Amino acid sequence: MTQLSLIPATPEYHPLPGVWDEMWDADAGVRPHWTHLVRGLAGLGAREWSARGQRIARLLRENGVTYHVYDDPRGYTRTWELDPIPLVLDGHEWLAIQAGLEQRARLLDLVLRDLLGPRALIDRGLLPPELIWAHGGYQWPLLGGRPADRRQLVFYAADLARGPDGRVWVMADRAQAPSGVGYALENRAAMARTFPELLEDAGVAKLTHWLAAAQDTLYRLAPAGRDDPHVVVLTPGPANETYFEHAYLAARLGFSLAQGDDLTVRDGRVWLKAVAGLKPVDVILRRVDETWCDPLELRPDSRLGSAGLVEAARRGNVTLANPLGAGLLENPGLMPFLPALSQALLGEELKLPTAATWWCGQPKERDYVLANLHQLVLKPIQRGHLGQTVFGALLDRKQLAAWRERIQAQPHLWVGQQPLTLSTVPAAHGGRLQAHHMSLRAFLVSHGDGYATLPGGLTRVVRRPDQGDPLSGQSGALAKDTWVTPSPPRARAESLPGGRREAFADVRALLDKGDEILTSRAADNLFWAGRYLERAEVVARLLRTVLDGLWEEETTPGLAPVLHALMRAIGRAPGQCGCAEHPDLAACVRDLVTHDEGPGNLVHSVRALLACTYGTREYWSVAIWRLLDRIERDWGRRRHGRSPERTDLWLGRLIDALAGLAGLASETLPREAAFRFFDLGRRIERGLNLVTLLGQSLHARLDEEAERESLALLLQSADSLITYRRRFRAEPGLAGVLALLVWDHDCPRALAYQLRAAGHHLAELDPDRRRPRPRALLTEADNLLRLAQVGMPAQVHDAAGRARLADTLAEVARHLAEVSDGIGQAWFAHVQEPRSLRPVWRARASA
Amino acid sequence: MPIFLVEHHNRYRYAAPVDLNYGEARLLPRATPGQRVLASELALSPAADDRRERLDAHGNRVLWFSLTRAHDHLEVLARCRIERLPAPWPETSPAWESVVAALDAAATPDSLHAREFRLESTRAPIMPATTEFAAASFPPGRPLLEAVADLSRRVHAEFRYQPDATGIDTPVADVLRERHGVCQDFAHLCIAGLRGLGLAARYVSGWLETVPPPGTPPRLGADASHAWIAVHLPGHGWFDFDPTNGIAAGDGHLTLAWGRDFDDVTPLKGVVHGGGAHQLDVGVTVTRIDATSTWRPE
Repeated sequence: MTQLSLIPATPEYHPLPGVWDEMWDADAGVRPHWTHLVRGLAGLGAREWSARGQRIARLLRENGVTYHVYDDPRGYTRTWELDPIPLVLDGHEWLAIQAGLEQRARLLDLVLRDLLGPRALIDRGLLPPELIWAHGGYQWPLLGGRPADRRQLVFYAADLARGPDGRVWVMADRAQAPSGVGYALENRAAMARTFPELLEDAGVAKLTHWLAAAQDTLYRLAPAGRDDPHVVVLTPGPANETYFEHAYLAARLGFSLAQGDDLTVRDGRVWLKAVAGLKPVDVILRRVDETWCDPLELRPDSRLGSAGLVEAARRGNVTLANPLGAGLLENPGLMPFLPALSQALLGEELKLPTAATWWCGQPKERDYVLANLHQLVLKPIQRGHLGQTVFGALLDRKQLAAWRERIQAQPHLWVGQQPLTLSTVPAAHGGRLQAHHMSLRAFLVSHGDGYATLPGGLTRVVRRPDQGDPLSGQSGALAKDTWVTPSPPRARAESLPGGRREAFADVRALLDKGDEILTSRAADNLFWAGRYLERAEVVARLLRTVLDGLWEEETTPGLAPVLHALMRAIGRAPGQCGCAEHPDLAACVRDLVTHDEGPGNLVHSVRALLACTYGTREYWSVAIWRLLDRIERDWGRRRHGRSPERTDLWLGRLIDALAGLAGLASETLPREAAFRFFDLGRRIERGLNLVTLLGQSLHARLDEEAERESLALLLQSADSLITYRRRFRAEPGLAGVLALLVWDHDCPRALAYQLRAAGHHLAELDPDRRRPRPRALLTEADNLLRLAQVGMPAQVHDAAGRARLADTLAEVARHLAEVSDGIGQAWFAHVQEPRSLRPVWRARASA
Repeated sequence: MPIFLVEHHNRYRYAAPVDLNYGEARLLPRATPGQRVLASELALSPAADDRRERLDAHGNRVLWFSLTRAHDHLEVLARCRIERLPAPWPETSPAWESVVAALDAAATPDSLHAREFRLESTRAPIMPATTEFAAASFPPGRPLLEAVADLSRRVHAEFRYQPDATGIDTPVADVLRERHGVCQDFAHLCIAGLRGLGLAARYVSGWLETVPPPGTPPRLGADASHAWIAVHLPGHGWFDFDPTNGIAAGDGHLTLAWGRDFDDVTPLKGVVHGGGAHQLDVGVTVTRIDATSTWRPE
């Protein structure tokens, strides 16, 4: 029987002949460790099955699990795709795999320590020098330090695959800054929420322990004498393909997320530029490739690192994990030497087989590769440096000749590898259950005197069953959760030691929050998230108000001031869009919404808001991500079919989402610096927009009816019409509007309220008055408003009085703009861009 | 043996204040079989807030420094006293092909380590054109040192020394095509050619005596730091040639540091925050003094 009718809606499953299938044994049917899952899935029924599949996709999208695709010029984020059928691995087999992985990690650690230090392996003839020296990861500035007396390889990942005979092989080693563990954990979280009973029933090994081990290890890596170590995750930034994971790990482990220019080296130590001043950094979880880490000693064109980082690490003042130089372990040319190295360094047989690999730097091996080009996989010893992996079988005669020439020219730069027919696993992609080729990335972290292995890992399958390609997120593989069952017992070394763990159990110690570490960059992004949020909201409200007004009557006289205020709010002079001549005002306004380019307009503000939140993603709750995801889908670059006819609908959805976002942020962010910068941005932006709105009304010369109408629209756009009516029980009039929206300290929509709130935040942020300028400006603005209020009632109705008030408001706006600049200078100034000085090539002689 | 006094200054003037300045200087000479460093010092003005000397992976002396207070100029002044030692050359050397074979076999740790300098590097990439250029000096069976001396002479004779024609980013291929350049360019060209033939060649950064002894022709490259090459002869060590002047490096060549190419031994490099445009003034004076001179660094 080759049919499997157990999984609903997919009556047939045909594993490929001659290929190992993870679930299906051609002779015996479903493998025993899969029976729990298969039975469980069968019990769900077709409809439930499909509903849960959709739920998974939604969970991942809402949690913002994204993966950047480099070759997309506009840098779209792509949501991670998870196939609902996990890979199931037998717990007993896993124990053997785990032992092999831990042995391999120990071995690679010893190799790394030797190659960065004494290089005895080369002198002893265990490694040919060209294999090491020609690898770009072998950077001379990182060598020649004191020999390491403790473990250097902290994080290690291996790409595993199973061949047709059922054996598991190591296909590649990852040691630079192995990525994927965050995705594996998110995969599990989504599965656990979707199929809780199946996970429970199958007794799947849990993953959280690994994260605790990683956290514990990182704290213990701190240089001696640092009692409460400060760990940062060093990321290349939001444009990086796995930025999601960097932010995820920072948030999960409670570390600061930093980019290179958030760090600075002084007195041989690394410091984080935080809004409260420089904070010493003890440990760096490094997700920036080593050659980019220090423009002084490594790549001078790098903007991703920090000058002096290599020296700080060299002096032992900061620990990097993985250390600079670990990338050399990714050299596939090392693979054929590992069995002998294992004997020499560990006195053990290598437990896990390695894909058969021939390094062309040796004559015999080179000859073999040249003679068998057409059936080998050709790889450069360094990823990305000389090009990508090539399958000999796919090359024509001419290409083969070219490859022969390339390899002969510099043989030591290439390896040939025996291709492996990867095992398959069922995937439900495309609505049918089919066999897809797969590979598994396993994750290890140094812990205690050994390594902790994540039970399972990140399983990836090719998208189409007929593909056997190498698996990479970049080429768009599907992910799967990985279930190890039954859960193997935890090794003793993995049980968590005390230290930090105990500190977490002491509630009293935790009540003392200590210093909040907010980077200047994050503060900057939070401030602007606040400003863009407010700007998007006011423009959206104005647009809706205008459109509503147009709906009622094409030529509402009171509409002009509101429309002009809208124009000003998006940075244009009234009439500049051609409204005056435009036959259809509504169409013109809709254009303003849907037009992509142009700073200030709605789409621009919304996208800028998304960028700022993405750059500070560790601050936002899951519920906020859900709203951001909704906004992204409607207004992001890849929005689908936002038809212009339904502008009102889109505006309504946006306004609701923005209001929800503001509310959730206020409800979830603790009243710390992060919240204060975010709210400062909102208050300043709201104040500026109020002045624009009110100024237009003060300047407009309308008859009584038109003014009433105009003020009603204005109140509506400030979401205050109901308040006005309730308070004054009258039709809108200028005096009442000014009372409510300018001077009412207790009305969250009033200008005076914005000034007070902003002043309060600044006082909290700068208790010692070390940055007095922004606060002084706010006080001045507040005084201007008070003075204007004193002479108010009589002046409202004459033109001179209106003009005077308009001038005062404009003056307040200028103050607010200056406050904004002042905050930027006081807290966000990322000093100047570093520049590498061009070394002297041929200096002219001095006179 | 002769003793030399060296003064090498680098003066930066910045148009705007520099807030942070990180630098690495390879301006302190190393000891070699051919020279003894009697005294040396590297002075920074304004003084560095943090400085530390170490040896790099090639054994060169490196000073890492940082200035973390605003400044508008920086002077890096190297002063040292070096004694040249007799460095005997073999009467004859083996045929160059047998040297390639000896490197392949790498019977001694020395020749094993020398193989590092057979691999191409960023500024000395192995290319058919450079290999071909060098090969003209390497007919079958020619003794190694004789062949390298010939290569060095040819570069001096066929290339124009032209200080402004090339910059740090000028590739060796352009130097070969245009037939002009400065000492660094000529060194990289020869190194690329020698490596293409399977020989081990390294880049040497150093100083050249300003006014050569009477009776010797004037030399190029003495007004700033100089560069030349060294080639490995298994069992004997490294032998220096100066293609800019078409000679074997002699008494007046004082070694600072060596590496695969310029990038490994850049005399002074830095990263600054701020500063705007900068002006740089460099000057080197190498004076031959007698052995009784009493100058000591303060």
